[in-house]
Amino acid sequence: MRPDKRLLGLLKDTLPDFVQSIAMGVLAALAIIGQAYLISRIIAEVFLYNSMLLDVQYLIGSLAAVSFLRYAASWQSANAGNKTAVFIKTKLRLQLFKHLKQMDTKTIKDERSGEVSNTLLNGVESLDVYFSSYLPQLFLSTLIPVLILFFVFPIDVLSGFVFLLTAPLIPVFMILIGHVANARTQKQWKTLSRMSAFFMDTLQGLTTLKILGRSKEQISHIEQVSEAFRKTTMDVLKIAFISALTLELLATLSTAIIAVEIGLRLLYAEMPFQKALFILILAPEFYQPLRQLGARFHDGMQGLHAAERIFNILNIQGHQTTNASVKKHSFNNQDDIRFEGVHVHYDGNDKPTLNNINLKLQPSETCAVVGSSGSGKSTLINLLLRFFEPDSGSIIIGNQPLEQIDVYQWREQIGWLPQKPYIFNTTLAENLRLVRASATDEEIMQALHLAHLDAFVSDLPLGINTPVGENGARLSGGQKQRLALARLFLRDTKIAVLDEPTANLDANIEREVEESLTQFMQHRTTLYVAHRLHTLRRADQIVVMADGQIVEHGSQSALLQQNGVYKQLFTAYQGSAV
Amino acid sequence: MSTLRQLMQLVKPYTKWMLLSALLGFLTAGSGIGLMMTSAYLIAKAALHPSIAELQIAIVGVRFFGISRGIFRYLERIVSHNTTFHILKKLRVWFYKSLEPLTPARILYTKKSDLFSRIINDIEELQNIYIRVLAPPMVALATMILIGILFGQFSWLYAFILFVFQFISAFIIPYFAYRLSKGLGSQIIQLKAMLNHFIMDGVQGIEELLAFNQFEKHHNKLANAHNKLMKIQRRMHLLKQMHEHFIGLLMFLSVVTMLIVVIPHVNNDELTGIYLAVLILGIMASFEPFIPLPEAAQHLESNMRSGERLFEIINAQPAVNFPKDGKPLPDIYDIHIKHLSFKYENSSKSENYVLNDINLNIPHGKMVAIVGPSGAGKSTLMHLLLRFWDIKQGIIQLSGIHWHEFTEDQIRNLWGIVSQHTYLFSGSLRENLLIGAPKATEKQLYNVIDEVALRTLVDRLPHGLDSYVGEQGLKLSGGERQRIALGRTLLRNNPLVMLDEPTANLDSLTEQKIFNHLFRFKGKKTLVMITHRLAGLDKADHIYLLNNGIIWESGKHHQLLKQNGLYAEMYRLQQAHEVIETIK
Repeated sequence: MRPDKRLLGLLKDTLPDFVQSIAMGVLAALAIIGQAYLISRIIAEVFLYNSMLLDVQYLIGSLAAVSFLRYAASWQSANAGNKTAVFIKTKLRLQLFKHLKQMDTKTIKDERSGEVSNTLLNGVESLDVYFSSYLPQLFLSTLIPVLILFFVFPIDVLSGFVFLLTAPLIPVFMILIGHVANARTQKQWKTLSRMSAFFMDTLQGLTTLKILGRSKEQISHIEQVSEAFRKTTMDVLKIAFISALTLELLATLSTAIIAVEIGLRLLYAEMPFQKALFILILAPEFYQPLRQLGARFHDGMQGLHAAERIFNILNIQGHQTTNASVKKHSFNNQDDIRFEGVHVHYDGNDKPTLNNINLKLQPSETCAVVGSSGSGKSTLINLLLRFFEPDSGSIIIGNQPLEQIDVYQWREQIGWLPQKPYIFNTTLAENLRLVRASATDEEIMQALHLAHLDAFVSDLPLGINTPVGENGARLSGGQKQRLALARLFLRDTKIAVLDEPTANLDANIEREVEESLTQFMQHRTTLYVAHRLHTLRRADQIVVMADGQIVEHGSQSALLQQNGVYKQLFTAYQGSAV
Repeated sequence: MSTLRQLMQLVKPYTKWMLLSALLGFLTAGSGIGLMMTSAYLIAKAALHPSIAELQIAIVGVRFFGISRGIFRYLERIVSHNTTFHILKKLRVWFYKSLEPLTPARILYTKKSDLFSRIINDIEELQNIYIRVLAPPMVALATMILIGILFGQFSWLYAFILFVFQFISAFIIPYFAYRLSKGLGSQIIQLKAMLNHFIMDGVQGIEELLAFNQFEKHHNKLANAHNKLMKIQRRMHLLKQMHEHFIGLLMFLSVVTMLIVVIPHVNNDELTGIYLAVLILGIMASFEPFIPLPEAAQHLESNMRSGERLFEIINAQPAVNFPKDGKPLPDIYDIHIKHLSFKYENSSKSENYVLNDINLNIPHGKMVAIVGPSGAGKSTLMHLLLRFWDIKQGIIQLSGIHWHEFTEDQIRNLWGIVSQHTYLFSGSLRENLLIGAPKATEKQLYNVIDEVALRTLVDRLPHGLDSYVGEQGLKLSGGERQRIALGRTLLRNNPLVMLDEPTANLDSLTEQKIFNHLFRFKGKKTLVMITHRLAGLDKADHIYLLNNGIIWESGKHHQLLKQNGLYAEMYRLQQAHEVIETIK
């Protein structure tokens, strides 16, 4: 298995650590050779030449010293490998997160959110073993056997050849068997992954099963599927373990061959005892790195898969705004907002989302947009927030094209109420300070008051410091909406874009916030997507959209005189409300 | 240690397999020792130039151990993995069996996706309890005994020296590994959860972060959480490495000690020189089983935590106790609710009643709607009707018989439920439709498909009814899911049908179709419709409007509109909304 080039490229900035990890691994191997030499020497001295303890005391002392050296070196090798892994995980995780700015928000939020967050968490994490153990092992499994050969050949050529000939067999067999096993595994893979997802599936659907009166039957089903899973997996493993068996057999048999071969030559006095013992002790150490590489094979595969997922995401490019310009522009009360021939066409869609939009918002005007879903209403809002740029045409603020204004400064000046607000997993106060870090507790309470959430918050034991849970799990849909509204009030900007909530239409909540919102819009330039007819009363201008185009626009009275779509709509409403 | 005892109880049926696998593991280690000791004997003996016949046995021994080690290792891995999958099966069945009676009340209000992935992770952790926690000490202990006996043949002093070093490797080092890394495991889990929540916030809340210029700040928070995690992970990693390598160091220290003790014995001929090499190489081969022990100690901690979490979930008392034998069902199903008040047990404040003195009748074959704004108590009332919870104040009766006198099966067979929360299982569309009624005929299936307007979907799918849907399969729209849920219920053919927001996610045309279908049951089936969306209610025989846990208004649709109260206001607002969304 070849290491991924992109992954190796990542090593560039942490090369000293990685090199240290390998160098220390080599040093540990040298210590091993030293140990083998010292042990064989001591035994030979005592066994054949009857040396006393005093004669070999320095050798024994050296053995102890070399053992400590080996311990320190191998620990340091692991340490440096781990440091490398941490460096690379940090780099990739933060790079991935920063890359979200380059992607379309829709891609991140809706289409691929699971994949993106999973890669950020687990994908990056599974590179740990790749860099801390697999990759160093890959280098060491070549370096250490070569090093050992370097010492064995001058001592005994025949044993050297046995090593040299058997060593390559290990990777060769590994690859051969790996291929067979892999093909078998691939075939079973789909079945296996379905089976392992099955239990999660049953747990998640337990309430449904219960309601359908089928939850007890599932016990035997779980047993059956788990049993089938066991059998299928064991079939795969029986093959997969053969590769391990082969490695093991090669290593131990080679050791046995060496033992017999040197034993026989000793017998005929063709070789001195000390050299024979030295080679015998080294024999298992020679095969050890290759066997370890075999054991880490899986880590290597996992690392490659993770790399694939990570680089796939890093390769996604969106239409997001890059802050090409840093021109400042403070929005003032005389500025109008003009859409001039704005055209937006998403990749993969047949029709443009916005087609030649021309629209003018007078200073402090309230402009409502209506239309069926998919007519391009929210795209107008996203353009003003600069989540992406138009394909052609432009938006002019006063006399300044929007794309030339510094994006950070612009966003500081625009308030936003999304249709489905996201509530962060922190306290109520922190969720509000998101829009104004310096807001005091009083200002926060004031914003909550305007959003009619103050009574609810005061009842909480922790008040504004109450944690709200994952995506505001502890809040109801209506409360989340009002929290988002409080954000809008607290941000207090001269321009606001709003997407009225359609869900959670509770009559009483509705009434409560209506007044605050109408007041808020009065001295601000507001563009809002309206879902309810009665909120259109407060609009100075109404824009009716269909299929990415503006079909009608004007004040409510002007539209009613036109006798067009709006008129029909209005009459229908009047009729049904009686 | 009761968690450990409970866990051991669970894996007890596999004792034989575990012992076999441990034996094979021991034989593997033993073969390794045998290989090195016979090899050492072979060359030491050969150095004295005896006749080749004297070496024969040693040569055979070396060959035998050379082969047997690999084969024993292979068999050990097969048996131990097989045991692991048996344990996995056992854990799943055991957990599901224990969780089933607790559903849905005990898991209804927790964050489900969280809970389930935690359960899956914990079970995965525990499935390895044998391989990672139980097997290593068994193999190490057996090896200790073997090598002790072997060395005892030379001198019990040697055996004792080796025992001291192996004891340190087997108990003291793992103990320190356990102590030093104690708590690190749970810290890692916590930090990972924290990092995960910053990631989720960053991904799902990307628009807010950009619009409010908070992206950089969030990036820093995420980096901070990441760095904390890395720090603890690194400490854990270093400790693990330190202990593992330390065992290697101990092995050489025992070699050194043994040399110091044995060399004088060789000098005064108390021990034949040949055995010096045999003993030393024997020591070097005998430490292998001790290397996984520190990690086993670390795994013990995480296994205990996983076990505790699982036991904590399933040791809860079921919210409802059903009788073993139920009263026979009456012929007519009239439901009466009298003076029903309800609050959840965990709610702290005494005044937190979700339902307050509810009186309500659902006559046989009628259509009754229960409507109200969110948080009014509709879902609670529905759950009580389904007996997800027991009631303490007031009564629910079915034609005069108390609700709690029926068995769970009786109640499940009475009610068919169409809910917007219906779960689609990974499997074919056919399996999903038939899940509630496995015995339905093909004809019944196709009738229902037409009735719930699913024919176009079936025609569109690549393999028709056998197309794979659900979590891992095709993505279906909310409306399609809803209609599958409806189809499931219709196939079950229950006398009472509960419709929980039945037309959420549906366009008005389909909504109309489905309503028309449901209204055909009027008179034959009892329909209870729970909704905050006031559509199709002119057909209802009676409407109850719930607000703040009490029945606010009740009557027929036109009566309620005339009253000009909350119902009328909700209706008007929704009509306005309706109109705008359908404009073309």
